[in-house]
Formats: sequence, C-alpha cells, structure tokens
Amino acid sequence: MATDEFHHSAAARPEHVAAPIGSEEAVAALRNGPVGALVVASIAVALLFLGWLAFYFLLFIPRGSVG
Amino acid sequence: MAETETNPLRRPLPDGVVPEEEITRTEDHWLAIMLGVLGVMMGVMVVSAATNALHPPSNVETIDPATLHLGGEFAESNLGTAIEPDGSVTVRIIAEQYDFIPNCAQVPVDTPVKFRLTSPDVIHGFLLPATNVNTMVVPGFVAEVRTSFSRVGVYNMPCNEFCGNGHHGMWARVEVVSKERFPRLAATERTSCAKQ
Amino acid sequence: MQNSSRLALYHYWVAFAVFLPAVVLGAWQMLIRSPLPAPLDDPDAYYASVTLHGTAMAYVVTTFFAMGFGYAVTATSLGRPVRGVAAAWICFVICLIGTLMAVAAVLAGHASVLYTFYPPLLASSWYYGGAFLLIGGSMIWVVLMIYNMTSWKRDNPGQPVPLAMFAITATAILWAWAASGVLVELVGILLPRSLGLTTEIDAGLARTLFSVTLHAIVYFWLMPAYIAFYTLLPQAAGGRLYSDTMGRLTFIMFIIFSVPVGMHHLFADPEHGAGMKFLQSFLTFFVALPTLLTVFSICASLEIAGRARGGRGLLGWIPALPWGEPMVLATGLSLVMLGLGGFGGLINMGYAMNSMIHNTSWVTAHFHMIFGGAVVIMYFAIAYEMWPRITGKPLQSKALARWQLWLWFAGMMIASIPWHITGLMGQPRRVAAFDYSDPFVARMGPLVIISVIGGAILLVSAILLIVILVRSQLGERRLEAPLRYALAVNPPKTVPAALNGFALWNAILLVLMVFAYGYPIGQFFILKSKVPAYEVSGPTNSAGGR
Repeated sequence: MATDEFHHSAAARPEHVAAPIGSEEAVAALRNGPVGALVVASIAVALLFLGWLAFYFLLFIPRGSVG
Repeated sequence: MAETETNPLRRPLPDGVVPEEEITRTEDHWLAIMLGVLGVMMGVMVVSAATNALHPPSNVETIDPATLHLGGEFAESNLGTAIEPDGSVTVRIIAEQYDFIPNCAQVPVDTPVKFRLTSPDVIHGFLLPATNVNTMVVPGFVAEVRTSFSRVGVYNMPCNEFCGNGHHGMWARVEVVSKERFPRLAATERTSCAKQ
Repeated sequence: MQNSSRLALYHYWVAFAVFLPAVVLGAWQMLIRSPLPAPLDDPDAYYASVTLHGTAMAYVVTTFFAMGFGYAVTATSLGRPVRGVAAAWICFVICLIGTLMAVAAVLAGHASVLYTFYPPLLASSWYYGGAFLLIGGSMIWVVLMIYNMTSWKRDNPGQPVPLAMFAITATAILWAWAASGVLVELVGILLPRSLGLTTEIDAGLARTLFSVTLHAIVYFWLMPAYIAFYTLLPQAAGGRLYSDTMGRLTFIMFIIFSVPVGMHHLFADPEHGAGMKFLQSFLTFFVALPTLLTVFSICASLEIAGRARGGRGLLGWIPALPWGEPMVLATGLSLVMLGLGGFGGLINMGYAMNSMIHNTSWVTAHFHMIFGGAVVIMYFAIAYEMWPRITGKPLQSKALARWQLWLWFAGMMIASIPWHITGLMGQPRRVAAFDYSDPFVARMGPLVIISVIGGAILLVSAILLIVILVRSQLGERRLEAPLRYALAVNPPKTVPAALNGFALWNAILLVLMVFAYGYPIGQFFILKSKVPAYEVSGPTNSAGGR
C-alpha cells in the first residue's frame, strides 16, 4: 500500500517522479516562464490588496477619527 | 536500498529548464509590482492620515505616578469630563488595579473629545470598541487620545492590557449623550456618570 | 555525523516534549474564557497558564527547534559534522536549565506576567533568570552557526555557501539582533529590580527594548519554515527551486527589515511620538516584501515540479503535484494560512489602522494563524523529513502524517477565524473570564465556542504528532537515503560576496537601527519616567488603593 511504504522525499526514488512525460514537455510548458505561478500569486496578492483597501475604507475610517 | 543502486544523482529535470536571465527578469517584474502595491497602500495611509485626522495616539508627556492623587491635573476633584473654552471636552481618567476612575465617562455627541489617562501602578489599556479609540496607559506617562463621537449611546470600555490577576474585572463605560442632555459645566466643574 | 544527529534529535525532542503540554494549556485556556463550563475555573490559574503557554511556545519550542534544525542543516548541507559540538552541548544544557527555572517559577505562581512580561508588573528573579539563560544561552548556537559557515567558506574558497546553510546562518544572525532587546531589558532593568538592586524601573524604556525583540522574533520563528520552502519543498515535490538568488535575497531582506520595525507594536503607546511611529510603519512595509517575493518563487518552483509530473494547462500543475508527500501538503496548507495571517499583519502595521485592533483578540488570532498555523505546520513537515534521516527509522505511516497536518490546518482555521471577528467586535485580550450576561459580550459567545472546537481539534492533532514521532523513534526498519536539498533551476557556480556572507548586511542593519531606534531609546535618558514596580507573587494582587 502506497501509504505504508518507507517515507522519503518523492524525488529520492526516480520512479516516483513522472519521468515518462520527460523533461522536454516540462521545458516546452515553461517556455513562457511560470505563467501558472504568476496567475496564482497575482490572485493571492490581489485579494490581499483589495481586502486591505476594503478594511481600510469600510471598517476603519467609519469608526471615526483618532489622534 | 533501491536509490543507491540506480544513479542517485538522476534528476528528472536537467539544469536550465528556464534560462537564468529570464528568471531574473520575471523576479524583477514581480518585485516592481509588489513595490507598487505596497506603495499604494503607503499612499492611502499618508493621505488619509492628513485628511481624516488619523494617527495613533502619540502625545509624549511624563508625570509622577506617586503623586497623582495629591494634587495637580489628576487629583480626584479634576477627574471626569470638563468643558474647554472652545467648546470641546476633556475627559480625565485614572486607570488602576482594577478599575477606571471614574468608571463611567459622559461626553456630548459630535464634539471634539480629548481623553487623558494615566496610571498610578501598572500598564493598563483603554479601548472603546466600535471606535478607533485605543491606547496604552503607561505609568509615568499621560496618554492622550482625541476623537469625536458621531453616535449617541453607551460604549463599553474594557481594559485591554494585562494588568494583574484582576484584569478581567476591569470594565467601564463611556456614555455619549446628545448636546442638549449634556450638562452645562462651569470651568472648574466636572461630570461623570459613575455611580456614587 | 552521529554526534551532530544526536545533537539535533535532543533539541527536537525538547521542543516537541514542551509543545504538547503547551497545546493542552492552550486548549484549556480557550475553554475557560468561553461560555462553556470548564474545570479549574480560577483566574490565577488562567494567567499562570497564559504565561506558561506563551513562554513555552514563544521561547522554548521555537528556540530548541531552531537550534536543532540549525545543527541538522549544518551537518547535512555542508556534508561534514558540526564543528564545536562540545559548545553545542553546553548551550543545550544552559538553555534547558533556563527553561526549567522559568517553568518552575510560573508553576509556583511567582511569574504570572505573560511571555511579554511588561513591567511595572514584576515576576520572580527565577523567571527572569531562566529566560536569560534560555535566550542568552542560545547565543552560543548563533556563534556556532556563524563559525561553521565561515570555516566551510575558508575550506572551500570561492564556492557558494549552500543555500540552506546560508539561510540558517541568516536565521542565527537575525536571532542575535532580535534577542538583544530582551536581553538588555532583562539584564538592565528586570533582573536588577527583581533582585532588589534598584528601586524603580522605566516602563516605557522596558517596552521599547522589548519591542526590538517582539517583532523580529517572529522572523526567527518563520525562517526555518522558509528554509523548508526554499530548500526542502522543491525536492519533495520532484522539481527545482526557481531562483537560488531570490532565496538568498529573501533571507538577507529578513535580516535588515525585520529588526528596525519593532515599534509598530508600540503604536498605541504614549511614550513615543507620531513621527517615529510613522517612520517605523514605513519601514515595516518593506518586511512584507520578502514574503510577497517568496510566494511567487515558491509557486514557480511548484509549477516546475507539477509540469515535470505531466501537469498541463494553466493550472494543471497544481493537481499534478505529489500531495501525498507531507512536505508538499504542509506547504499548501501553510501558504493558505500565510495569506490570511499576512493579511492580518498588513492591517496591524497600518499606522493608525492599528488602533482598530490593538490589544483585541484580533492580535491573538493573527499570530496564532500565522505562527501557530503557517509556521508551525512547516515545523511538523521538517520533523517528518528529519526524523527518518536522524534515527534511521522511517515514518510508519505517511497517511497518518497527512491526517495530522490536515487536522492542524482545520483546527487553526476554526479556532482563529472567529477569533479575528471577536477582535473586530472589540473583545479585549488576555482576559480570564467574560461576563456573558452582558449583551455586548454575549454577542461574542457563539464565536468563542467555535474557537474552542478549533482548539480541541488542534489538541488532537498535537497528540497525533507526538504519536507519529514516537512510533518513528521506536520503529525498526532502517533507511539510508540521505537528506537531499533542492537544486536550483540554474545551480550557481559562484555568487557575489554580498550574497555569500553577512558583513555588508549587518552594517546596513546597524545604520538602520541607529536611525529607527536611536532616538526612541535615547530619549529615556532624558525623560524622567521611572516608576515603582508591582510584584505579582502571592495568592492575589491587592487592588489599587483609593
């Protein structure tokens, strides 16, 4: 059973890595750089940014002045 | 073990699947975007600090905690709410283990309010939930917070810094009343809603 | 390698042996402050527990874990035994003695001052002495990390220091800078007063010195997790690290940006003016940068791994990743919590916006999410990678490890999201009991109860962690695969000296510290703000006399 085998990093046993696909496919997919990562990271940062603005203008400022 | 029989250095990916120049360029672009995002946030903070009077309370003023009750600004007769000549009010409160004095402060709505607090013993906190009034009360210093209340009502006032084993019992109130209901005070008169 | 392995293992065991009872305390604390009935409902016990939980999690678990991880990384990344093993064992003993002293003082009821121990509240000298031995003793570890890195560089001139070693040495240097605040506070203010050598203390100065430590310490906690992101995760996922340079820059940025910003913990304090507060808020924006850059770099590294495993399409690399690997799963869960926790952090550092949430439950929720969640889950993942290598006995079940990680994630989300909300509602923190008959407090009741459920799940997860590690310790099979660190997409042949050492960055940090803290600390030599202390020992504190 896969769950009870020796524990070690996936890359320690070559057959655990999707070698059949081969590195040429990976190189081709990455021809334009890590676009998928850009998408994921951009969405995350956009959510952070918009959330911060929402908190600032919808929660913080309505609570009144302070100084 | 299997991996020492096959070549342990077999890598599924060779070096350079993405050229280093491209990596550097991508990281630089991402850095520029991140600096831009942070810059906008910074700008929002700076502009709104100026236009909406939004600063963390930052009055630096020392006072001797041992002589608070003996006289001066925080003598008992001077605590509570006072009316200033320009129509604003000043509320003076002492925070000590484990109560605020007075434990109910009364202020008029839509009026500039200045809270001044100090402590004769340990650090306490002064928090009015649903507002931005939030300051530490540090013995040796006078904490000053300025605001204005736009809603009539009763505001809870828990101590929000650990001040000892009775900290959980240290709750007070601020009552914001309409300007008509707020008493007209002489220069030396003080008012509060604390139960005698 | 044997000696280095044993060194690392002993440190890890102290860390996790302290971790489990600390989680028990945390779960009990959550129950006590909720509307639910709870055993031993005593405020004195609560405040002692909060002190113990905080001291254990913030100082003991983290320091021992980092030291053990440092020795393990040194030996495995440099490929040779740790140098200075005798000093390392002396450091271990000193830190252990300090821990026992501090714990004993808290259990005896003489140190209920919380792990932030803000004077004028005064604890027993045993507590301060214990904290000093633990934190001060760990400076030996700092010296050993620097010594091991520099001696490797001397033996391998012109070679880039392996990224993992560079990063753990950066961690050590950061810790030295961070600890300086609390060490000066202990030696200069608290120990003299608690020993009766002085009669008054400056509460404002003590808080300011402590603020040097209070923010930077969270990066000391966080850096081992980031080391895992950069040097262990890409390998575990079967791919490569996108950029070795970005890894180095990240750790350098943490050194220079996380120390001179501590005053954002003092935004609500009356002993500093708006100008210095604004400056420190401005500098704090920069410490968000290494995390924002890391998020992209790690996603890119994962994308490479996912595509190498056949992931197609814009996001097809995500399901293609080996989520069965604890290191990969932990990273995914950690990044979610890092996003939420980081969001909270952006609120906290927003100058006046801090006033909305200062010293409310929001703050507690924030650091549980980001430290207890995002960082500590990576500590678990590191333990699952390290234990088999050190003991030669593999984890008996990867599935159980995955369960443990999922439970920790679920528990932390369920505990801390409602906690954030009660914070926004104005719930004060560090409170032993709430009057739930008061309508203002009653509104928070259901949210507090949900948090309690989260705490219970976390407790189950913590127990499971210990079970897994003990089973691995006692198992029988032998594993020989050494730890493999990730390779970069373009492994560097040389790196510039600025990315291979820390002299320049220490110098820059020194300038920044003078700039950011020079006046805030210097002013106390002019301000007359010394006050009497208040001891916490004894069954009850006397209420202030009026």
